[in-house]
Amino acid sequence: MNRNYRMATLGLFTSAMMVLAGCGDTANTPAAGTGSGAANTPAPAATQAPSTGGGAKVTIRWRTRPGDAAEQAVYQALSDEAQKSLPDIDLKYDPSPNQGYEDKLNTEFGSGTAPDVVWVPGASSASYASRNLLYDIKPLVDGDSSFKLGDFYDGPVNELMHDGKLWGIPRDVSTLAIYYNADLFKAKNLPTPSELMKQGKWDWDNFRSTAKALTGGDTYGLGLADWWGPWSYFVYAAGGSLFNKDKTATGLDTPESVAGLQYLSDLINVDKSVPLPTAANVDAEALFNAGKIGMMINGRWFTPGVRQNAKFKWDTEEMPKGKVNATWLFWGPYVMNAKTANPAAAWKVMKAITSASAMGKVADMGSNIPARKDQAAVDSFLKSSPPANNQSFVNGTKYATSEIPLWTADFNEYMNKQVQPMVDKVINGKLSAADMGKGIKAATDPLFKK
Amino acid sequence: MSEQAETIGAAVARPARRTREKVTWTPARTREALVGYLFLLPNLLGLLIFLAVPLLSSLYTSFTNADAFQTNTKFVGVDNYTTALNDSTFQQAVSNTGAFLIGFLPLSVIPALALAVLLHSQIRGKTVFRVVYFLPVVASVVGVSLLWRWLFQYDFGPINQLLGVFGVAKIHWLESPDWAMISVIVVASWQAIGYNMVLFLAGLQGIPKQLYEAAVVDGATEWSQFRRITLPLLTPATFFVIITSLIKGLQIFSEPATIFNGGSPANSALTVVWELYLEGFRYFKLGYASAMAWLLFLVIFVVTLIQFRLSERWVNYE
Repeated sequence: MNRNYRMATLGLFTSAMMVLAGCGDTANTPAAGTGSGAANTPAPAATQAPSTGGGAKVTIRWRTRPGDAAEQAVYQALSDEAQKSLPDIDLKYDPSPNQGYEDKLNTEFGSGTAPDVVWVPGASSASYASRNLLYDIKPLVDGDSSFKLGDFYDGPVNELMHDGKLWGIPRDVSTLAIYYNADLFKAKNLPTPSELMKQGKWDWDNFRSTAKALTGGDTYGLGLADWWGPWSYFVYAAGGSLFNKDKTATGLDTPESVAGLQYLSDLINVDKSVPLPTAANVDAEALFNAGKIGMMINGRWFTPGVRQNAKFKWDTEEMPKGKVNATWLFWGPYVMNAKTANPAAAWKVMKAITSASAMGKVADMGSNIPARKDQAAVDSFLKSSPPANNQSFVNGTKYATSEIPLWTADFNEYMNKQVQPMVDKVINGKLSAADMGKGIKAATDPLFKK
Repeated sequence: MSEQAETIGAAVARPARRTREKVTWTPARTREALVGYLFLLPNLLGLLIFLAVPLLSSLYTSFTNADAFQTNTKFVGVDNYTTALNDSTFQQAVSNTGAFLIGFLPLSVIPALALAVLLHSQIRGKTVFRVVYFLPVVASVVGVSLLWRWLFQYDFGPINQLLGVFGVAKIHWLESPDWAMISVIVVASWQAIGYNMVLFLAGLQGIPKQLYEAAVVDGATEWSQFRRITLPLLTPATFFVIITSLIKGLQIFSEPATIFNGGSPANSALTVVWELYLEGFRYFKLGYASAMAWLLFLVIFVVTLIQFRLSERWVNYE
């Protein structure tokens, strides 16, 4: 009998320990592996000594989404240097991989364990702000004379301001541009996009004929991925837009938007100069790096990958001019967690990681353009070559549309649930752009707040 | 003496009745019962905390308009359920899941049965083959998806190259809305065959060899033996395989979601669980997603119930 009691109690104790360990705090777990969500394993929780700071030290945790190990190393170095200038703060860099980045962040917001400062994609910032998850930093900016908001590009800053509140500081920007394989152009004796640009002939007619001329054998003239960045360039360059003027309904039903989408559909289905796009960037990127695509529409983030993988001469150029000049200005802000323990300390960290020297480090990597407008920042970016024609990215900022955080509806729901499936059908040639224009308004109106 | 015999005889002759014993709770008995409950407690606690509480909480959430962060949660009754049934994306997910099942069930059961029969006979290296066919089951979904993305690649993937050898035009496995679901069916079946094969093997090993010997003596062909001995006696295993494959098919999510990381072309490979995942964790509509989950549960429950009722007709338990 006694032995039974002992066994039972031991069993109860052991299982209680396992349950408690499994629910342990994993806030300090470094992001290793393929990022399949927040894994609550007992081992990391036990080996990380949670530093609540002895005495006056405050712990601030911050996060970005590095695309590869090289980028993560740069941000870790940035964090270490920022730590030196912040002696009374214990700064922890807690990166998270690309796959499932926002899903993991949403889960952490839900459980109250999100980082104090975190980078989010620009289009999502409104979703977080409207759910009261972010800290309004306008009072902090206004009360800090050493910080000038005007140093940053106006487009993203304007998008981050809403109802008199400021929800973040832009980290970096990237425009959409054409990467082209100079060797392929030479082999077919065609003028490159840069040459056409110099002659003032880089327009949609020449773009289309160039793509056609490059196609043959197993080579394609143009490559792009099937997400809203690349395909909506065609909408904007034709004079259309994703939304109407005050963003209370879709803008894809206008004749201009329809014309833009039909032009893209024709490039793919009539000319056959484009491999059928997939949603994942990597498919077209792999083909370009293998030398099978003449021109690719992509953002600045593609540059490190091309540097590493392309075995041919390549360069970049601005997007061709349709009815108007158009490109995207992708941007991402650092935002502050509404539940941060110490907003003043978090603000110091935000300033340190958006300082000119911090941005210079990121610019050296070549993956994005610093969000600071000053010439020093632009110069450090221009020096990062190849591509030789870095200026093409900077030129785009003059007429680019800034990535849109949507306040009147959920951007992800609008795009993934209704718009993208219809565009997929247009791209596959199963639906004409005109028919999509007819149906899109009815499909998306219910999503907008009245 | 005769009295005793009579009493004993009468006691034996009394028919055995199932009655509730009158239990007297002595301290010893109480202690024993308590020990029993203590042993059960760890598992019970786990069951309660990680199964019962989330289940009931999700049922409650499905009747509210909760978003993931519990801002302005209001009770909305069955609104979520009616909205889901009228939502065209949800309807598409339902029909996609149905199409998936139509392809997945035969493709994952019949080859598994064939393999099991083959690997049950006396051939050399059958253990090696059994291991090889089971390996896909334990391979990680992410690795498998990456592999198949390469195999299905349009221009340079091996499958299209092989088709080219036979003069068949290349197929847009991953880009076209017509073929996307078929790609998912192929990958999911490939992974499931090994598991079903092992289940069938276990069932086959329960069939007595004398039956086959008797059949051979009576002059039965291989096919006849299969049809009249193997299949009927295998029905319990078949029943189990069909039920588990049905449930797995109705809940399929990780294979399509990792193969089509950014979304399938025109949502042609969108399944019910994927849609409810998007609604809950991307569009922040946790109440709506919970309603979809409970709708799916109802369907699985009804389907399994029907299967169990039908099983009385065709499953032979020896």
